[in-house]
Amino acid sequence: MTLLAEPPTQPRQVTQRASPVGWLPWTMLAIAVGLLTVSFADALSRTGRAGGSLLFWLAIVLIVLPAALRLCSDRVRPGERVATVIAVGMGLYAVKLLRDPFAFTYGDEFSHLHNLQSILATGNLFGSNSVLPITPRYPGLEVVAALVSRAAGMSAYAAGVTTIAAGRLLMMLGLYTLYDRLTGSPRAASIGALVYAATPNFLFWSGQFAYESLALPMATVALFLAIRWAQEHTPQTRRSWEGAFAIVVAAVVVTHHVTSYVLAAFLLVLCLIHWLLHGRRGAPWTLAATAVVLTIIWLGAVASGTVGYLSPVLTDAVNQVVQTLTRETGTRTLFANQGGAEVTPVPEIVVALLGIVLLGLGVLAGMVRVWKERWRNPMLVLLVLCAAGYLATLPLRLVPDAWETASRAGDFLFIGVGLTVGLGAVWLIEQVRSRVRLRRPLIAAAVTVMFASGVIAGWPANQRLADPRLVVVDGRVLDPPSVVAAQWSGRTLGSAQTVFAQDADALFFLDNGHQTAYEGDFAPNVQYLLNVSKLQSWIPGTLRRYHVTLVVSDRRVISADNLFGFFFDVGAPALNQAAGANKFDAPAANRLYDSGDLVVYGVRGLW
Amino acid sequence: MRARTDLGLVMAYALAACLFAAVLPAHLAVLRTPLALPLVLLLPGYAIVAALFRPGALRPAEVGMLSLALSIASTIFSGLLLAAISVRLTAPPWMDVLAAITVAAGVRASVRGHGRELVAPRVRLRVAEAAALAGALVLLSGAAVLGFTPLAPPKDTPGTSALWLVPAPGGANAACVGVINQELKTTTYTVAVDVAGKTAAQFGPFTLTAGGSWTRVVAVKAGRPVVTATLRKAGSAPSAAPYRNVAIRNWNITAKAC
Repeated sequence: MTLLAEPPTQPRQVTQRASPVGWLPWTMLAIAVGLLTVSFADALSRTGRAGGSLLFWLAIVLIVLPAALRLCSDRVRPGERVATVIAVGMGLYAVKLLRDPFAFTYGDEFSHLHNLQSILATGNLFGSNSVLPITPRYPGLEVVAALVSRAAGMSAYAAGVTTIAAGRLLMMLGLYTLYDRLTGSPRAASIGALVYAATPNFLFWSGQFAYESLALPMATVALFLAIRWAQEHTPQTRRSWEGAFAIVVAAVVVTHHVTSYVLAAFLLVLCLIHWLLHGRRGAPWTLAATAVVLTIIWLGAVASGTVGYLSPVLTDAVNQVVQTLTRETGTRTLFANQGGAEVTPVPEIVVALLGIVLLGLGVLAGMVRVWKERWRNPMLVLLVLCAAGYLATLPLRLVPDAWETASRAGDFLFIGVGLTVGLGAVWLIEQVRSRVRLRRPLIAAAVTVMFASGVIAGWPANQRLADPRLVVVDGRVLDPPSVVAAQWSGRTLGSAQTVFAQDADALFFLDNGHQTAYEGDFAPNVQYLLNVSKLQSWIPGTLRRYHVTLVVSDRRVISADNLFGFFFDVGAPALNQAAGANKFDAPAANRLYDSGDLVVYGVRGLW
Repeated sequence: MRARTDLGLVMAYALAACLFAAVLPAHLAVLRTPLALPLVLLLPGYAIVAALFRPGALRPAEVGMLSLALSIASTIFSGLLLAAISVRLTAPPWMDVLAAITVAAGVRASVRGHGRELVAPRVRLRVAEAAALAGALVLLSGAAVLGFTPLAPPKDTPGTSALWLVPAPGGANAACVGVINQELKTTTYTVAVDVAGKTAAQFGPFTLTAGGSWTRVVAVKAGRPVVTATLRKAGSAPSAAPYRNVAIRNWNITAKAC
C-alpha cells in the first residue's frame, strides 16, 4: 500500500521555555467547570426546576471550545494533543453518566444488563434474552463487564459503566492514532478526533452499555493496525501486525454483528481501491480475508439468528426509501420526538442546520486538499469517500423507517468525516494564514457548532438532562412504581414468571424482577394485546403459546416509551383507555398487584 | 531478564493482583479495583505489545491504545475459552488465565530483549498549572457528589400505594397480603380481606413511612375459595370505593416468599 504524502510534522516554535504540559491544566479546568455545570443542570432537572437547558449548552461550550481552540494551534506537542482529545472524550462520556447516574435507562442497556446479570448469576455464556434474543450470541461486551464486576467487586451497573468508559478511551485513542498515521499531522489528527465527537450519536447513544459502544472502538483499532501493516514491507515485520489485527478483529466479531460486517466490507473495498490505484499486489487481502472468514465462522457456528434479526430492519428501510421516493408515504418530521411532535426550539434548529452546513464545508475543504495534493493512500481515499457518503445519507433522515439505519451508518461513516474535516480545517488555517487573523478561533468555533449540531440532531431536546430515577423522601431512597412492581414480582413470585408488559415495564421486569419478559409490537405483538379494549378470543391462545403467567397492565401512555418510561412521573400522567387496562379482570385471572395505574394479573387460568 | 524493567513490573503486578484477589473479600471494591482493573484492561495487552513489537516501533499513545485493545480482547477470549471447557466464569480462574497470558507474553518479550528500563516520569508543573489541575480535581469531585446523590422528587410527582395478594408459599391454606407505600409521604392505611365473600380479617389503621412496606399471612379455609383484599387510606369515607383492590380467583400461582 502506498504510504503517506506528508511526513510527520513537529509542532512549530515550541520553545524551551514553554510548559511541557502546555495548556492541558487549563483545558482540564474548563472541562471540569463544564461537568460541574452540567451536573447542576441535571440536578435542576431531577428536582423539576427550570433553567437546566441553558446550563447544559454552557457546559458543552466549556468542554469543547477551549480544547478545539488549543488543538487548532500549531504550537502543541503531540502528547498534549492526545491528552486533550482523551480529556474531551471522557468529559463527554461523563455528561452521559451524569444524566443516568444510578441505573441504565436506555432500552438496549436493559437487554445487555440482563445478559451481564445472567453471566454473573450462572457463570455461563449464551443465556436467553426474551427482549433482544440475538444479543447473548455476541457476548464480548458482557464478558468484559462480567470480569470487571467479578475481579473488582463492582455492581453490574458500575462494571458496565467502567467497560464503556474503557471503550470511549479506546475510541479517542484509536481515532487520533489512526488519523495521525494516515495524515502524518498530529494537528489534523487531533482536530479530526474532536470532529468525530460531532457525530449525532456520540454524546448519548454511543455512550450506552450496548455492544456497538465497545465494538466500534475495537474496529477503529483494527483500521490502525491495517495502516501500520501497510507501512511494513517485509513478511517478517508484517507478521506481528497480522497477529495483533487478527486478535482485535476476532474480538469485534464476537462483540457486535453490524460492526464486524462493516469492518469486513470496508477492508474488501480497501483492497479494491488499492487494486485500482496501485495494482493488486500489496493490497491487504490477508487482513480482509481474516475479517471475512472470522465473521462467517461466528455467524454460522454461533449466531445464525443474526440474519433473521437484521433482515427485517434493512428490508423495511429499503422499502420505505422506495415508497418515499415514489411518494407513497410521507416524510419524517425532523427535530421531533418519537411521537413525531416537534420539540426542538427554533434556535437549536438554526444551530443544527448551521452545523450541517459547516460540516459540509469542512468535508469539501478536506476533499479539495486530498485532490489537490494527489494523496493516493487507499485508506485515506476510502475514508474521504465515507465522508462524502455520510453527507449523501443525510436525506435518509427524512424517511421514517430508514432514519435509524442512516443514523447507525453515520457512526461508521463519520470516521471518514472526522479525518476529512481535520485535513480541511488544517488546510484552511494554513491557506488563509495571512488574510484572516482570527482563523483559529473561527475554526474552533465551527467545530463547536458542528458538535452542538450533532447533539441537537442526535437526541431530543427534552431528554438531554436527567429525569428523577431515584428520589429521596424522609431519608429513604425510592425507585419508581414500575421498578417496585418488578422487584416485588421477583421477590414474591420468584424469577420463573413469563411476563407481557409495555416496553418500559417489560425491561424493568426483565432486569429488576429477573423474569422472562416480552414487549413491543413484533412477534408477539404485546402492545396490541395490551391496548385492545376487550379480552378477545385469540388472546388466551397467544398467552398459552408464550407460557405467559403475568400480564402487567399499565395505563400510563409513557410506559410504552423506551426513552421516557423509566422515571418517576412528573405531573399527572396521560392515560390510555380504562377498558383496555381492565379487560383482564376476568373470573379466570388473578388480580395480584394493584398500584393504581399499574396492575399485575396472574393469567395462567386464561390458557 | 533485567530485574527493573517495565515487563518485570507488569508481570509482578499481574501475579500480585491474582494473589490479592484470591484473599480479599469479593465485595471490597475499594481495594480490589486498583488491583484488578489493570489486570483486566491493561497488563495482558501491554505484555503482548511488548512481545510482538520491537521497542520504538510504536508511539506512546499507540502503545496505550494497543495495550487496552489487546487486554480487552484477551479478557474476551479467556472468557470464551473457560466457557468452552465448561469452567464457570468466576474471578479466580479467569484472573489466573489473564495473569498467565501476561507472564507468558512478558517472558517472551524479555527474551526478545524488548524490556525497557524503568524510569520515573519527570514533569515539573508550574504553581499555576498545579493549582489549575487541583482546581479541576475539586470541581470534578463536586460534580460527582452532586450528580450521584439522589435528590427530592419534583413537587408535582404523583405518589401511589401498592396492595398485593398471593397464595402463601408451600401450598398452605393461606394467602399473603401486603402494602407498599409509594405516596412519597408517611401514610396511614386499613386493609380488609374477604374469603368467599365474607370478611376474614381486618388490619389497621397502621402507618407506613415513605417506601415502607407491610405484610401479613391470612388463613383461608380449604377448598381454594375466592379471596379478595381492599386497601383504604385513613380518612377516606367508608362508602367510598376502595383505593386499591386485588383478588385470588385461581390458586394456580404460588408465592416463593411473603
